[in-house]
Amino acid sequence: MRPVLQLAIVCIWPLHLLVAEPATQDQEASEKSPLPPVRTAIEVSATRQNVQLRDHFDQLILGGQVFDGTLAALSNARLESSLGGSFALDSKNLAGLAGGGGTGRVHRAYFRDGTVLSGKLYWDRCAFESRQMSPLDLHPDSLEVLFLKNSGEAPTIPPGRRSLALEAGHQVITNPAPHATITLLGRWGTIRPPLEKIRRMWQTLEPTPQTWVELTDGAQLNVWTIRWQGDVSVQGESIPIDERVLAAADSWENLQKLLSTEHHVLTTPSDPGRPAIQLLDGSSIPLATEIPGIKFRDSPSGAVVRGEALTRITRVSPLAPPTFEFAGTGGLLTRGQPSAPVLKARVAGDPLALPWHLIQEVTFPAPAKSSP
Amino acid sequence: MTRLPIYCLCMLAAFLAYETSDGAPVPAMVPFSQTPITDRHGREWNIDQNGNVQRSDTSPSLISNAAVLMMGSQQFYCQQPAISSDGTTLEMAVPKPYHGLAVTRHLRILDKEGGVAYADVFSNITGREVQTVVEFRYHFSGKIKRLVTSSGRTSPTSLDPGDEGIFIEPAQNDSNLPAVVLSLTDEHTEATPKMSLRNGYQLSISHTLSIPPGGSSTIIHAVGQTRLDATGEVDAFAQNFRTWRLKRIAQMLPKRWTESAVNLVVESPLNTLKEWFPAQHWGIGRDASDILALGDETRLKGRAQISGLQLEHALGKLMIEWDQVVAIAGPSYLSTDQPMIWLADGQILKGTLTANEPKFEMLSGTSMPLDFDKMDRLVRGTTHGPPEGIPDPAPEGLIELWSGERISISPDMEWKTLSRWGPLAIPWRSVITWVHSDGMELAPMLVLRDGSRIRTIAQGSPSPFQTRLFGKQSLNPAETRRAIHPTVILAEVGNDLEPAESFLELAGDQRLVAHVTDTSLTIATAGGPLTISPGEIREILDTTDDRNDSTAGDLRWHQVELWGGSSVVGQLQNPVLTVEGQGFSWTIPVREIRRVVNPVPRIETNVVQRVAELIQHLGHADWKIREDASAELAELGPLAQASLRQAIRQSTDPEVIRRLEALLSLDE
Repeated sequence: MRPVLQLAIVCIWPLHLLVAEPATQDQEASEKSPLPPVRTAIEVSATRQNVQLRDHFDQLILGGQVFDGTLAALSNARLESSLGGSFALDSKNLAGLAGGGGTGRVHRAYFRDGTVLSGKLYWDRCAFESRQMSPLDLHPDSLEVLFLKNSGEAPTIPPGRRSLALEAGHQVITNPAPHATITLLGRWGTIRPPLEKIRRMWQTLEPTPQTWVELTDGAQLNVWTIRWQGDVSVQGESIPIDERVLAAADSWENLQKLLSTEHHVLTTPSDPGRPAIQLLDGSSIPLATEIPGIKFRDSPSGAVVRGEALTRITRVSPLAPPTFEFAGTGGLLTRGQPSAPVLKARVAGDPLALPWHLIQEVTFPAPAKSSP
Repeated sequence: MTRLPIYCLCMLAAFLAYETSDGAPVPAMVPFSQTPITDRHGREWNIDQNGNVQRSDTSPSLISNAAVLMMGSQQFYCQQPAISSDGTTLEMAVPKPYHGLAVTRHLRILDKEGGVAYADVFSNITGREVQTVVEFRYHFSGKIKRLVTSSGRTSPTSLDPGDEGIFIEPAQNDSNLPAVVLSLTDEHTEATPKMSLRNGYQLSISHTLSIPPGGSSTIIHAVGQTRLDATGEVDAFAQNFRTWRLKRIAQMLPKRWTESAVNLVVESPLNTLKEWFPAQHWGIGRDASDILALGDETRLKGRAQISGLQLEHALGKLMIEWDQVVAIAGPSYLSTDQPMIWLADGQILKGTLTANEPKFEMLSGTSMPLDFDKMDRLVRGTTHGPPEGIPDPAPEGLIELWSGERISISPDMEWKTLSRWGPLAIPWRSVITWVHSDGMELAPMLVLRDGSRIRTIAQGSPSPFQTRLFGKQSLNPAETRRAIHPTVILAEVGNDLEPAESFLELAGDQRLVAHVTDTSLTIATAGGPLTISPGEIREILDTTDDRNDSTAGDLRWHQVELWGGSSVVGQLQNPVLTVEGQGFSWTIPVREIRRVVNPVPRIETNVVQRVAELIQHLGHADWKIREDASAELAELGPLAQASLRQAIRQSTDPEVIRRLEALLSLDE
């Protein structure tokens, strides 16, 4: 039996383990050291609680103490998921369980493939045997945390697939259906890119809560809401869900960074010289299509700036309607208000009509040098 | 010299507080003798009687003498400075006016940020306009490594438009010192202060002021100390400066300090109304006569004679009474393809204008035809339209489109919008304004009459709008720039008191009048988990930033005050709270919630029963039972108030009445 060290930190997967013992210097040192490579949510949780997962025995947290032993029985166990649906629980596929801890908190099931679901646990019998104490029958409402022994295998996410954390209780989906629909809604409109075109997404809180999405084509979008509609598959059972997304990444490690304050480590800085459309909300959209000729409001006769002659469009007035400066080859420099309300672009293959009032700057590719 | 941490000074506040006319408590001012004040970062602020920050004896700092106010060659001088009883605010005034200007310095200690904010007020007490240059000098004790602007521009020789402040980095051999940061101006102000650096030790910032007779101009600024990102990357400066943006700092200052600020654009719904009519930004003052402008200099006075005025608008055709017109601008002036017309009810409409032989007759008698498609600007005389530039009677709702048009909408319609937590459909009558933030980097703010401020975006397919002139129309919400409810703005702007109902404060300066509907909240405390009912809560305050606990992960720290006087510190375990308000029920992530307030207790049934029982005991034959009942009722405090008031109206027993009066007076 070992005491669990006092946690000044509480992990992103709130397991709510609280022990009224002072933190030790060793523990403080370990908190400051980088986390070891993590593979599953339960490993993250265990690391944060200074519990090392074992290869040959399970560990039960009880009253602030760690008991080594074995999960002797887990019969007819299931999780009634808060997302809807019921999942049968098999100890072979489980990395850990967190019950109500006697406080009425939500229950969680940690799967070996990295999935974390919350809801309510049920079982006919769950027994833990340890040499340090009599066999225990565990009840879902009183169970604190049960760490199951290492499987020895790290979950892998197939290429192109993404690991998602949902805003609802930070639940993690590692095996979303490939045809799941992600709806990104921003001030610039709505797009529904396929999951594999989303490189990562994360949230920031200041100066106001904002969600950012980076696409595989380099676009960085300031997104107002993100909904994920699709199936979650756990142990062969799947349920359709429709939830807000908190973060997404192509690996577990990256997902964890995006959920922490380290999100900036992963974000790709935008290249200021790259042809792109910069929006006032901070979004950057690669200029993937040719800009057609731009007609001005004050030119009813039809004066048009040719798209291929442009090198840069810059907003110069925030008033309504906004005025832009158009710079181009051959000394082209003029100011005006585009007569069309939107600039058409494409993002992740989806057409997007960007209102001019949201545009800060458009940078065009450098014109090809003419042959001598 | 005694050094007082700011929390010690706060303890005096309870004894010396008084109230303003609107009921908001304001600490009393007491004489100030130079005493260093320590912020929560442990840095000492040694402020002298003139408001200058002097070198500290104990806190290593670049600052030698900062924020010295110079008016010409004369330095601001104050004989008797005052400090608020809570130690956060100082006030200093010149004993006699300087060149017709009464000058007052207001200072506020930025305890959390580690700095001092200034509101320097210059009041013109003469009968003529006063123009002057005021200068702020900053002397530094160590060699400066370099200056960096708030946008990351290094070694500037002057400030560019958009530069909001400056970092002063210590030299390499003083790299243990914090950098000094100066908040100088708001990026949206038109005038940029001038800057000069002398000898590598003295920085000077100067502003030019033009103050009308009887008017005041205020310069808001701040000096702080901060640790800079070791990488020195451009983004790191911009990131650090977010804390020091003048607009943010101004939010921590009393409104009366910032009202006349010349280096700060105060975003007010009323401003949108003042800029309603073109006279101001057309540069044409209104007159008794109509004025026809031709170019920048020609102004013709006379009378426009127009009948049968018709507007062919994209939403339909209209006949417009000439008496309703305030101004017309032609396409050549507006750089648009059609003229625009300003109406007395506040609308601005664009379309093709036609009339029966329109002409302009000058006072001299010369008459000339008017061509709406070629004309410049026509402003009608003050006999038409509101004299102060505000529509009278003001319309009950106006939307402004990105095209510049403003269209009057029916007050009976619903305003449909989208918050981060879900859609919101709200009766227009409940709306004050929906307006974009400066720079548009943040989502627009919807301000409601109940005190809510919610960031929402206009999204979705074209939805029906009930307009007053064009009837039911379909408008794309993304084309809407802002919406205002002028009659409500006139009544309520500036009246931003906390709601009397339950509300939440959220990240992004949002406030939601709503109550928590979760059945229980679990708070992890040092002594173990505690489950409480939302009805017991008087206030939950997110204290994560104050604790500066970088290891807290995604769970935040909270201080919870309960009705009845208990206090709990811990981490709220619920990942989301479910809240219900007018027309919505949303789940909101706890990490976005900064404060939850229940101004009125929601009293559990068992408490009500116990209070009733204790009130009965107040008339008990046994003196000890009467005393115990009084004591327990006093402990229950606000939870018993409603029952006590009811009991005092019904009771006839003199002793019970006396005891009830004593209990009620405890909470007054």
